[in-house]
Amino acid sequence: MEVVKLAIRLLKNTLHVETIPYPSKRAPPPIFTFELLRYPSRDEEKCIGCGSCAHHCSGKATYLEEDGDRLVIRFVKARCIGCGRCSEICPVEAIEMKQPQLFAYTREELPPEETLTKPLQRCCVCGTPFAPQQLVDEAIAKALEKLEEPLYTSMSKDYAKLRDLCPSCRKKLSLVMGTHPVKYIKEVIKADA
Amino acid sequence: MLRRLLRRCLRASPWIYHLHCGGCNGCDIEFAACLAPRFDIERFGFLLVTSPRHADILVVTGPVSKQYAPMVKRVYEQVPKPKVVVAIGACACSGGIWHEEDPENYAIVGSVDQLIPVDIYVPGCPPKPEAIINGLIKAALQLAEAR
Ligand code: SF4
Ligand code: SF4
Ligand code: SF4
Repeated sequence: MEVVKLAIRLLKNTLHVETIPYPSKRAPPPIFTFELLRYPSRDEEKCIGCGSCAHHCSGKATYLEEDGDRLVIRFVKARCIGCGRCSEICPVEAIEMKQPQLFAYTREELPPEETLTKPLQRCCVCGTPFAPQQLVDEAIAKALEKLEEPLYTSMSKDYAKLRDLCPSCRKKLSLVMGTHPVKYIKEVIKADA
Repeated sequence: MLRRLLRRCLRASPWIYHLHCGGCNGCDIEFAACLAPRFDIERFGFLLVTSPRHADILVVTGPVSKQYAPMVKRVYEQVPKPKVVVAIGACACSGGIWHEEDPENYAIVGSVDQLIPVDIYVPGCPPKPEAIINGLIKAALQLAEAR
């Protein structure tokens, strides 16, 4: 009996083909991930130009460039290692990791650098560009999101003034423009009493 | 007639020389996986040879370290014509995670195409064996055309 079993196993092993006939059939994905080698694709509408993806990029595939009052986000596909940190860190989930259509490129097929341009907000006092307009708007919206009265009204009034000021002018002019935060404390104390 | 036959031979059995020039070995392991039974590139007629003088296709992995740069040029010159160079991995394609512009990396040249002309790029860190097979098949087709 044992001998027959052994013979069957031997026959099975002999007939078993380990090679995957690749172009007609793909290898099953490893257990720990579903797909390897995915590249980020940026949703230009959603992106607010915060630059987190460039600061967290492992391979310096995404990088920033300031060009006058525009911020240019550049992405070199050949340098990307597909780690997914950019998609993980993006605050508005603008980056999706997608499988590429091609795995190997000839010199002509090599994709050019992807660029995304975001306008920068200029300070209305000193004139230096300081942050992308969309980022400023998003940051104000996030800051006001969880506030309640009476802080909400006074803060949203202040933010409307602060939107066009760069951080250093904000500090310098806080007393002149009446945006110094000390009045919030007074308001909260008044509301509590 | 003879040329046609030669072209067919080149397409059907290109010989590969694998040049490792300073990577982390990830790409080389994937390349070794291609040679092993699971992916088995010998199905397509590829054969790994031990001397660049026998090779048709030069497979380069890793960012080129500065010390190794002259050797890369020398090995490239040793490969007889027609030849196709395949860069495997983000490192060989563009410098990958070692890429530094300002200041320049003290030990790494960067992409291989700064030294020798590269024909096929297979990005990824490391690329899957399937991607490498795609790249090698493209290289074989280009090799046949170059003749
Ligand atoms: S996937 Fe990784 S290497 Fe590629 S752009 Fe994103 S962070 Fe950079
Ligand atoms: S992290 Fe997201 S929102 Fe910020 S620049 Fe990158 S893609 Fe745009
Ligand atoms: S591309 Fe990635 S896996 Fe390949 S040698 Fe470079 S760091 Fe290593």
